[in-house]
Amino acid sequence: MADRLNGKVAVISGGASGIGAAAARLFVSEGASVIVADLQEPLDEKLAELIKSKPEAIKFQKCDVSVEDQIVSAIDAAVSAFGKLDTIVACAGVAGMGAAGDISAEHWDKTFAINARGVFLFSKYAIPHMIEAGGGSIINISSAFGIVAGPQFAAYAASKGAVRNFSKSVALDYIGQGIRSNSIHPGYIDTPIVQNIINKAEDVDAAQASFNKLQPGGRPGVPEDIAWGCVYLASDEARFVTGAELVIDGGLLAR
Amino acid sequence: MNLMGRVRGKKALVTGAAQGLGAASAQMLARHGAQVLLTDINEAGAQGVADSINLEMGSEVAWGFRQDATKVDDWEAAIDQAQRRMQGLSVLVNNAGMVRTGSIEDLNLEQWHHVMQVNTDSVFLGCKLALPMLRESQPASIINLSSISGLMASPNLAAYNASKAAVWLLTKSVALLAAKKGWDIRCNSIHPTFIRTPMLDDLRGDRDEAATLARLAKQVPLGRLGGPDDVAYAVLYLASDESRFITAAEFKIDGGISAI
Repeated sequence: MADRLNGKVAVISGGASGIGAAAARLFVSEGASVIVADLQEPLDEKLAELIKSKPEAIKFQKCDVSVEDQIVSAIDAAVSAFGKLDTIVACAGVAGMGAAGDISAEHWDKTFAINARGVFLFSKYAIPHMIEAGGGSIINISSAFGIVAGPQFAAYAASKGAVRNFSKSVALDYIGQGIRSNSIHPGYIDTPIVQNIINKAEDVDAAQASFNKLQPGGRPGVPEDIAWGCVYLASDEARFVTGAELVIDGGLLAR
Repeated sequence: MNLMGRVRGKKALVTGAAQGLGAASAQMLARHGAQVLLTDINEAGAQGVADSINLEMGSEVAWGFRQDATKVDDWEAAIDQAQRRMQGLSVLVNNAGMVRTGSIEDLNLEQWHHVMQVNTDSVFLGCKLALPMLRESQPASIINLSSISGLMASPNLAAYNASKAAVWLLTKSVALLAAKKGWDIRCNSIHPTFIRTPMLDDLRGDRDEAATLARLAKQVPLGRLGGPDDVAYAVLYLASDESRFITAAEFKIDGGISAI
């Protein structure tokens, strides 16, 4: 067992913490070779340890997804280290809050530069290598708020909605070249990105309670819950799945 | 027994398991460590698939059982059988179903009721009657086979569209009840497009096989029909604890149809 991704080569943006880090660890344990691309060095201790102990399977590459050249470098790092690229997981993202009347143009631009433009560029530069490899799987992390809106998430929800429909466009345009493209829509997951939002609130307990209340089961998921979805979509088990959204939200969207 | 399996220790019941997606799902679950009770109106067919699973696994992990999934008595007997064979039930795959073509003009009330009975009543009964035993075997997972035709309509599938759409939202209702009650029981639906199974013969009727299959494949952006394992792998994922945060969701296995 644990060979579901044997022979796959993946770049995971935002791989230093949270969902991306969990995906990186699972990908390696399932047999893939991985480039962890992130602005920051791996914060996840188990991941940092893995990068030290298995350099033949996983490497870190500094990457700010709002900088085009750095995305190209992350993709090139995979090809030069592992000989090809057939899988990307676009996990890098920011989650600022605010209603449309309150947020600045800078807030909107920054959100879109990372959450939408970063996802576009990641696909753009990965696609030629995937075609060369005979196919591939593009996995873009959107959000439950990429399907419905959430209060005070005007820019975030808009950027995640863009990710959802961009993923479908890529699916259609490259369906003849063996490239699959899907989006994942997490509900409330216990990650640093969400914890930062909660910690910034005036009343931290109230903010925590309101996040918990989003979930029908009253509690968040963990990064591994999303990472297993990435494994499924990256594997050949999902070879008939493209242009779809994989909702991993503990029932949030069903209500 | 597969000691490293992704669904090791799970106790599964798969309806409509004599052929097609049910048979493929039962095989997949068994290969990855589950025990499986295969039910079908076609008892010999279900037993035959169970026998081949046991032969492949080298031990008795699968059993066949006669069940009409539209009958309360048969559900009670099947659940009793699950208790007897596996000492519990943690995975329920409501797969039994049928396809009938026909527009609103073509279908009579009797035909409508028949489709709703086989495709929808069966899922209602399965969820309702298995729930007490699933609660005893948490974490548990219910997997309902809907269709891409439960999300998108065709003029010539009036009853089938409606029956599969009913499964889609029934699934979410069951899932939300479990979440609200604090039960670790998940409930999700799978929505395949055309998959190479015997059911396609019912859709094809008397028309030429090769030409019909080619025409169906053309409706799929990927340009081909799916295989039973494309669905069985989704069943495996939803049955396993890897998907423990997935509930009330729909899995589209449709070769890109939903992107259009």
